[in-house]
Amino acid sequence: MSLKDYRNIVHLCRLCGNCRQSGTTYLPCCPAGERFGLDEYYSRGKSVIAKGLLDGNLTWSQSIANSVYRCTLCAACVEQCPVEYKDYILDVYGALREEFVERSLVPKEIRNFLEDIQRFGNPFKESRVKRGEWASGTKIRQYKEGDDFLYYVGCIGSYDERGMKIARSLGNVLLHSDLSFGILGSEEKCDGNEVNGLGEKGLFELLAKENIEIFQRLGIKNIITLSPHAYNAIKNDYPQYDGHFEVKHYTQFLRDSIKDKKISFSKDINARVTYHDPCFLGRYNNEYDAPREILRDIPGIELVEMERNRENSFCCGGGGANVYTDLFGSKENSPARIRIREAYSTGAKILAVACPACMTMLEDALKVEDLEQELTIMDISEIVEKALD
Amino acid sequence: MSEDRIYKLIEKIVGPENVSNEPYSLECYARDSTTNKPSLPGYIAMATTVEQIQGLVRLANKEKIPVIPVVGMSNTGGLTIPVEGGIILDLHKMDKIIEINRDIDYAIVEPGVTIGQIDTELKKIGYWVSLPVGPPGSAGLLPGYILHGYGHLGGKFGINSEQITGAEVVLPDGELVKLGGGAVSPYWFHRTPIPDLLGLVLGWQGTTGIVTKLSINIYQRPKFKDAVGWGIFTSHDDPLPESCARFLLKIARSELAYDISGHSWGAVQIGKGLKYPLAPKPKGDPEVYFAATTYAFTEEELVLKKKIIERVIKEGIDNGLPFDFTDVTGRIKVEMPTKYALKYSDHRGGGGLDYIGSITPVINWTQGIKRLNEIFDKFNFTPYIRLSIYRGTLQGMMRALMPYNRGDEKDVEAVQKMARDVVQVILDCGGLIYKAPSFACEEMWKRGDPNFFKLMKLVKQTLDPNRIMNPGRLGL
Repeated sequence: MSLKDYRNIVHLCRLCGNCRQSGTTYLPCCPAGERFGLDEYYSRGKSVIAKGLLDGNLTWSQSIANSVYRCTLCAACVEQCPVEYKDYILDVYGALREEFVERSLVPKEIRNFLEDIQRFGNPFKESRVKRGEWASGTKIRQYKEGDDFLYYVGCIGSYDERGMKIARSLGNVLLHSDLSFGILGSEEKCDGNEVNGLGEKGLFELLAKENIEIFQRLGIKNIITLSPHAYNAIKNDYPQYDGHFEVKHYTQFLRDSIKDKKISFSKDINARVTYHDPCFLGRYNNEYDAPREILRDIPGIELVEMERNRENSFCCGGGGANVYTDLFGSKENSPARIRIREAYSTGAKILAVACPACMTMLEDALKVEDLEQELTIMDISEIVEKALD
Repeated sequence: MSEDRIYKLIEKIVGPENVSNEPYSLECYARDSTTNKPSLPGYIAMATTVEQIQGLVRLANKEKIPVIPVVGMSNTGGLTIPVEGGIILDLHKMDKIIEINRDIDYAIVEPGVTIGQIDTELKKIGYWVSLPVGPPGSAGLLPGYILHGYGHLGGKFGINSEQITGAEVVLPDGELVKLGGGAVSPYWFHRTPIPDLLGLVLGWQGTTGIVTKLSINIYQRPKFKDAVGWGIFTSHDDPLPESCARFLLKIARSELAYDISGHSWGAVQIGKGLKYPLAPKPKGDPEVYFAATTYAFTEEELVLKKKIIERVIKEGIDNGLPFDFTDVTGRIKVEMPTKYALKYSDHRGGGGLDYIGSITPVINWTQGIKRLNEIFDKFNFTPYIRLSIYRGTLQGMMRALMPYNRGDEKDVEAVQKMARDVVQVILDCGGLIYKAPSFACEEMWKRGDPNFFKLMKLVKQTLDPNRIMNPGRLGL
């Protein structure tokens, strides 16, 4: 649907401003609002802008796009919205971004991101051939027909140095299971989750169809993803292109494997740990328990919660491709720095994450906050791997 | 962005990220959920310190530009719509709770502190304050207090502004002044017996200065809650006969209830999420639902309080009043702050909520509700009336709420007309309108003592000779 199809919807916003705070802690919930502050960055303001554009009170411009594209797609506003507008928020702002793309008004950082995906198949401008290099020297192999599942790695796990470490850790953990699996290596394409969210529907369709074609050609039925972003795209958006797969985020798979005693721990991780919910696992897919269950099952871990957790979690600021475009910068009120301070205030020694984009954002912030000696950020797969050794 | 001279001067004060005059930024601050006509400001400035506020006010004075302070953007009175343009001064980032003094029982907050924020912090130490009832938790606490709003403990403590003990204010010339106890004492506690100059800002709708700090009473929070509900089984044409209205005093005088509130039948249906038009009221349903909510520090105390309230109502029933007890389980469960009230705006298709609220003698609620029902019927709106009694007296809030479809011009027009009719009813009932839109103020002053209005103008002229502070308000 295009934005004009929401003409009779957008006024449902009650203009109450409840999209600014989480409804249990009453701490700020909107990363863009927290960073930039003016009303245009909150859902309330965006509804006014969308209505203004539809009514002709505002003219489409790149400056509006510059503001709208600060949104990290974290859906915290959806969680807090008390009126019927809640059911339409993501669709309305999705249609708004789609129209910015159609009108070639997207900010240059976003345009570059989309062009890189189109040209290279990833936002790192890396060769497609190198996509599986992270697995060199490990026992992780190419997917072959008949394997129990595909391990879908995604762009950060394939190309980013820190992401590759996580990808290897999860690979090693998966090798402990009784099941057979493989990766696609150079045949893997970007999942397109951000491309879709940013409104480049044509490119998303292309990526989705290419992935679906490969999955179907290889007879893949079960997929485990490293990233919640890929999990979201494959689970919720690929079906519209006839891509129907049994997809799990890796934390769901590990939780089940631990329950089924396919994975058991031999080492204690004696540490207080806090967990940061990724938006595309939590708010988008309502999975809050699997990561926590894993952490609780690991011997020696004391799991403590940050004030903002589960559906009220505060986004690291990496969504909406900001992990690549860095539209928030590293100021004191950048979402990732705020989140690091919140994690540190729990007294935890380990901040556990379950998303390579969150890892990138939060590790950068940890350095800027100069808390590297006090707090370590680990992906849950890394913690599990350590407890297996 | 057009970086004109004023823009650059504002930028110097608040920094480049905290100023905008982009058309889309301005559009966001031009309206609220009411039918008040939108109007664009010229600039948005987001202040984070008192010094910045002083700097902006001095600039505005020099350049004779209006300044309109805003906080949570949840306003339902059109009170921050910049009717004469100017600078919107967004204060929501000034959100520190500066002091919670448990020895003397007060808290000092910045203007951006929200209702939910103060409640969360106070809950941690077993305290609370009277929380504005309608707005969401994200709404600013300060506006609901300085504009004489009603709180969920109003049945015991009175309206919220009665809880204010002091303030720090940037006057229209940029000077900073303390009012209330803090003006003389190191403690921001009691606003009298020194001359109560808080009256220069309370209820003035931001036309005499900008409150940069506010101190309010805090109270120990009882652990236990219960409520007693009773329905008034009358007729749509005479929903609250005088005998029923006068009876409310018996409950108020027992001083056991923290809140005594009534809702018209339609209001309760809207609260359940039912859409317009409603099915006819079933014969067995009351015209008005009342509930007395009480709290206690021990279970024994709670049981006793509830028993006494129930006994008073039972006496009413025994004396032939058209009452019966109703289930209030839902009310007991609801915790403040609540998003409950916001859902009302979905009733007619979304987004809009207008209301006219008043403090009115309870004895006049009888004719007031009757006439309000007539207005709702005339415009084919669901009658939505809310009533609350203040602090053991027969004075209380009578409010007509008008949820409407913000996307339907006919709805907008109807509500604009209804609001004017409602104002006349309230004034006929001897009521005083709070958070009054300018047209309602003009009606009040027309009927009132001319010297009162003259004095108001004199105060305004003296404090704000250049008329920069939220102009177009209060019918001034």
